[in-house]
Amino acid sequence: MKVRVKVVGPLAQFYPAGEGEVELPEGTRAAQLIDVLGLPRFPPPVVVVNGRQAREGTVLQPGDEVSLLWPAGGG
Amino acid sequence: MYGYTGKILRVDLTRGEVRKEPLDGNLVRRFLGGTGYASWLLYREVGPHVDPLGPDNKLYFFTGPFTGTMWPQGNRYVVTTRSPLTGIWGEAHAAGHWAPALKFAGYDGLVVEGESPRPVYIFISDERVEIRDAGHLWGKNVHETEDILLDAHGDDCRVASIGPAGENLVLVAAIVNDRDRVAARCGVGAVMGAKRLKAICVRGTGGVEVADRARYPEFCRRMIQKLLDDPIAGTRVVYGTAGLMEIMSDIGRVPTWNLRSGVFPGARRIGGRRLRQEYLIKPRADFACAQRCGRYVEVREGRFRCRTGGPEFETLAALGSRCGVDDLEAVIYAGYLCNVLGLDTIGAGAVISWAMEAWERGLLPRELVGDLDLSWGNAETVVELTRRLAYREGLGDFLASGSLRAARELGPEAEKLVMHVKGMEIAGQEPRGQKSMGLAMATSARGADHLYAFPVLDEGGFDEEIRRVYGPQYMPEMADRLSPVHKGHMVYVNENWAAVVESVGACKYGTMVPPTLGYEEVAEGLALTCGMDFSVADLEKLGERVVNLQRMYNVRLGLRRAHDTLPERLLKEPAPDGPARGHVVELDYMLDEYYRERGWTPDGIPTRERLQELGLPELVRDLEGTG
Repeated sequence: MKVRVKVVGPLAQFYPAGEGEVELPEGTRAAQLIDVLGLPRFPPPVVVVNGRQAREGTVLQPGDEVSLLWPAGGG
Repeated sequence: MYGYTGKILRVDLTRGEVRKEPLDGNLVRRFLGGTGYASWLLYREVGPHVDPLGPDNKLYFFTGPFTGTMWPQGNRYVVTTRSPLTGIWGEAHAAGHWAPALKFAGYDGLVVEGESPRPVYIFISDERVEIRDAGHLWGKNVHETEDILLDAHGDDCRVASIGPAGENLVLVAAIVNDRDRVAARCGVGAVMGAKRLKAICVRGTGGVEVADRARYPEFCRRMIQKLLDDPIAGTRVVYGTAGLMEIMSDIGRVPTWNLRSGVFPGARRIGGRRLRQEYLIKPRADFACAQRCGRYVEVREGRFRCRTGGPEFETLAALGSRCGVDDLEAVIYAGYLCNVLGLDTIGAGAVISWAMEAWERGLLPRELVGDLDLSWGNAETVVELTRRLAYREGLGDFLASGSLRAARELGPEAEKLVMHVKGMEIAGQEPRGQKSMGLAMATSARGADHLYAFPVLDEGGFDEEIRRVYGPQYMPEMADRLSPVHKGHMVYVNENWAAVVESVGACKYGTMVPPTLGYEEVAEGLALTCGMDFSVADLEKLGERVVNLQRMYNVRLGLRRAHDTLPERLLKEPAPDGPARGHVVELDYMLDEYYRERGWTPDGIPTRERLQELGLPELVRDLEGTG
């Protein structure tokens, strides 16, 4: 299945393309995208699926729009 | 008195008198210092009939027991006053080195009273305190003022001053210390200008005695290490707050086009990565700062050439996305102008973005606008109007009393476009994209404000912290920024804690986000620093006491639930795009929960019983006539 990914803000330094479409096996969990994209786990990235933060068991669906970003922490 | 100097300085500018008075030990036990102590004095000394720009208003510059110590970021002060922008309880805060210097000179607080007939500055060198002529400083910008005073008195001094904006009584004028650290909000700079007080120049050669000299250094090392080990606090140095811009746009809560939207297409162009790659000189650490989120930046060439502190996320949002501007050099320059001319970047960006929308809708007459092009995104206009605001030139003069007063001259349609609460402009948060912020803005004692409660743990990625700080029973709703559920509790808890943080002289970064240092650490810090025994429950109650005190200041002025509201746009118009598309702020639902948590009436008024429980019996009589 295909999902649309966007790596946002400072975290994008580890994913220079910034955004794109990724082919994944059915049943991929949102949190697995961190490793699929090769992003560092410190600080732990937040995975946002269709505008809502993914939870531990969130499974991706075809066509999902996924953002990965560092915890905001302020503002 | 450990952790404190034990003295308050009072300077009466009408009489030209300087007095020193002892810090009141009973008040310390009730309010600690900082915002708590200062708010108590304001409540007692500046009543409902005082003109905020008149001689009877006062400025309370207060440190806390951690200011000037090794507690991480122990560098802060508050300046409390009756706000000329809102007419209610007002306060602004800043970091830097000025507050530690005040303490090293021997003073926990400085109260400025009266009004000088001519421009003056206060010079403090330890015991020596003088009111000096400032005729040669009046009209100078903040950086010029600091340079002249440091040349005259030595570069071991620290300066807090106003720029032309404060002199000209612009109601979004700030007080600036250490060149680029800004006590910005509530128009505190205009109060200083009305008193014709240009600057406070301080040399302090003393120190702060701590109660437990043997254990204190190890304790502070442990606190600093805790921060540095945290993934957020420990990496803040890389991008500073500017790193938030792209994230906030992605989650749909960066104010864009005067809060029409929470998504800014130009976020990347004015974001933290570009700032770091192209303009950063180095991160900035203020006194005892372990996180170094401050910036020194430089635009090396072109018409926006400058070297300055910042810009923070708030400045990028106010002068950038909010006005539709994606030219980072222009935003840096407009932020620089705010620093040197003594303006609140949030207030400046807010009034400009309001003017842009009023112009677009044909509500702002051409004769007021003059030669400016108020189209969204016009970077030149934002820069030029920032300057005109400080000097009250043309449209700048019309806007100088804040967007609400300006709009009221144009009528109700223009007033609907003012993004404010209680007369103060909303900062860098689009609350349809973060419901807790909507409630926090509505209940904040100083008017629209993100920092009074600073409920940021629902922005994403803080599930564990939410479980730890509030309890697992509030998950998962509390962590969902689009849900109004449990946000009344969240804001209640945060306001109380923020009041403690602002009373001890600590920074919200590291205590609120991430919540690495909490009540237990502050209690331990107070024991080792001051020799004072506070339990966690004592401190929670103290924070709640301070919030109720500040609320009562406003209740005494007639404020009620009806004032704890948001602009119609945020309550009725669904967000047009981004993750918050279709959302409005469910304010009444959250307010009901919040008042219940506080033990206030449904109309938002503290009860007699609550005030007594919290140790504020003196305030009960001010409940008369509140229904």
